[in-house]
Amino acid sequence: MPSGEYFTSYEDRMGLLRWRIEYVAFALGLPIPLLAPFVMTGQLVSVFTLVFIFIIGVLGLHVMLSYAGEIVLAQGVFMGIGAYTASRIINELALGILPAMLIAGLVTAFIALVFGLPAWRVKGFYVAISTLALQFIAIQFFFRRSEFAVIHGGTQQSLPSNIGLVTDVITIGSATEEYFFAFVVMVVFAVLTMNLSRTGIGRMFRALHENDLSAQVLGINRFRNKLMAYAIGGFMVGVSGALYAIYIGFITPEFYSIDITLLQYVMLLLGGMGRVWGVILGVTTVELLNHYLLETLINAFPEATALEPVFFGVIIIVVLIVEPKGIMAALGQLKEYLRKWPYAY
Amino acid sequence: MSGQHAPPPETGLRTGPPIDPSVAALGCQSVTKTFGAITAVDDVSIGIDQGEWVSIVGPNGAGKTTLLNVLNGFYDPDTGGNIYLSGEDVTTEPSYKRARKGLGRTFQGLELFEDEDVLENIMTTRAVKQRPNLLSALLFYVGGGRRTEAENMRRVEEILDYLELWEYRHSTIGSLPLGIQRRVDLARSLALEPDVLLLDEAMSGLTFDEKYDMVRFLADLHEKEGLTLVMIEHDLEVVTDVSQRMIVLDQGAIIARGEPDSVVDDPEVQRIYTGVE
Repeated sequence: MPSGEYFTSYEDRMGLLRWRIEYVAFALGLPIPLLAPFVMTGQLVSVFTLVFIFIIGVLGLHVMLSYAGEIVLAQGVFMGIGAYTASRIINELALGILPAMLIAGLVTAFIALVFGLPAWRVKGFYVAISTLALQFIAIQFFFRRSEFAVIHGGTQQSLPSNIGLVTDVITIGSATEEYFFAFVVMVVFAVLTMNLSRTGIGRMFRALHENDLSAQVLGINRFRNKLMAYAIGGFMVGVSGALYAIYIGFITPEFYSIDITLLQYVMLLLGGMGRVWGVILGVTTVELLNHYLLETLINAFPEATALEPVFFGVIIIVVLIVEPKGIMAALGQLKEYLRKWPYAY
Repeated sequence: MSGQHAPPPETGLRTGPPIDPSVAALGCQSVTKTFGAITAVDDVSIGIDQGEWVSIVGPNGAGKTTLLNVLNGFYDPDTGGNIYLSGEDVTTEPSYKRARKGLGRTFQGLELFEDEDVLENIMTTRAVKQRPNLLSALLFYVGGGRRTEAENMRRVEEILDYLELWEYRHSTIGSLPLGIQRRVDLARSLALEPDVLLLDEAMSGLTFDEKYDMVRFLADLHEKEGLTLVMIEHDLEVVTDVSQRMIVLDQGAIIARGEPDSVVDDPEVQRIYTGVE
């Protein structure tokens, strides 16, 4: 607790911003993402739009894995379900982005919940396998077959470049508009996730993650809470998929392969599990690293751009060897060092 | 193990006058639990009255923890036995439902949430008591979540004060000595506001001073709050000092029950503790 600052109520103690320094940081930090699109290159604006979209998806993984302890290997297909659902809502019903996001989230939450049902009998790796099965069944078979077009609406679909928030009211079309829209949605989901973490449901998720047997003896319904985690996480990933489809303007099953699942795990682990700020840092670092690595290779060694994933992989491995708990843990150590400086302890 | 011991006589100290389990605060009727060829609990019937402090004793492997695990639903009894909580048959109910109906529990192996601090450990069971609503949790400021959490924190701080844990509230579990961890385990179960508390060797591994503190807290809870306590304990001195009744298990079966002073003088009890015939 900083010297001279005291909590005067329990409500104060639970705030997202609790210390004067946090209020100052917030006031100074908030204008940055709001002014950034006016000073960044168009390419970088697009990169950050993608960062915001992926943060929402990785927050979903964060709820399922970091909070509830469930290994889910279907991030790709959950995003795909969100994308195909949103595409149908926008193309066929013209309801706009917000209803499309909502319905995409709900449909994905339902599918996630169904594939989380094995959690009733088994846990850990065995549940992960059921989600991996969904990944392959849906992406390698279901979305590629025209026989199922009545359900998914077609293997490849395009979305209009200008879409209203609700029907055709307030259209989102330019890169800057997409940036701000994705930013607002990301902030909403980040706050919702933080709220989940600091209330009873988040605590029960974490209790089940840490010690499910004692959690049950202490009154926590394991099955219900695990399914709730699947549904909440699935909803977020579905919304992220819907935004991803709108951002790219085109969908095809290849976009939602197991690669996207693994990439989101890298983002989560690199940032540091257990904290929303870890998710934000992890996704931002991975996307910027990808972007600048590719740009450097294009400028310096244009014939070697295919090696980008190799460099990317090596950097990730090195970072995780240096600090296995991710960037948040490294920043925590730095903060502790600065707090004690110039003394060792 | 079943059948290796002599059947207890029909009358007298060895069988005692059991309280009708079906009307007791906590009880079981003809409960047996086997693991393959091993009979860990053998046809046990007990009834614990509201506000009683009962100790279950016996040598290692006597079936004490298994009996507790059956009572709180961690294990299902073999067919035929029944478990009662406040007069209600809860045999088919899972452990989490029994906990919500007022059956608290501490663990011999502690089983605390190691990655969380003391406050979070206790807030977790407090959350169970409150049954949080998803929407109010997500919305927090507008859905009543903030108010509920503040109420929970207020209650948890009271428990921390009561058990003299205030200075450890932000310590992670792994950094605490065993005596404090056992107190946190007790605090965590108290946050659920149980009617009956099962204590599985809550004083195991504690120093004399730590034991003294634990007994002081439990005696307060029993006398002032009227909490029903069922305690597994090896220290017969503690048991005879604090318990109103004592149940002795050996090889899964009850071999004696009654007032502690009488039970410890029983030759059969002395035999199983000293090994002297």
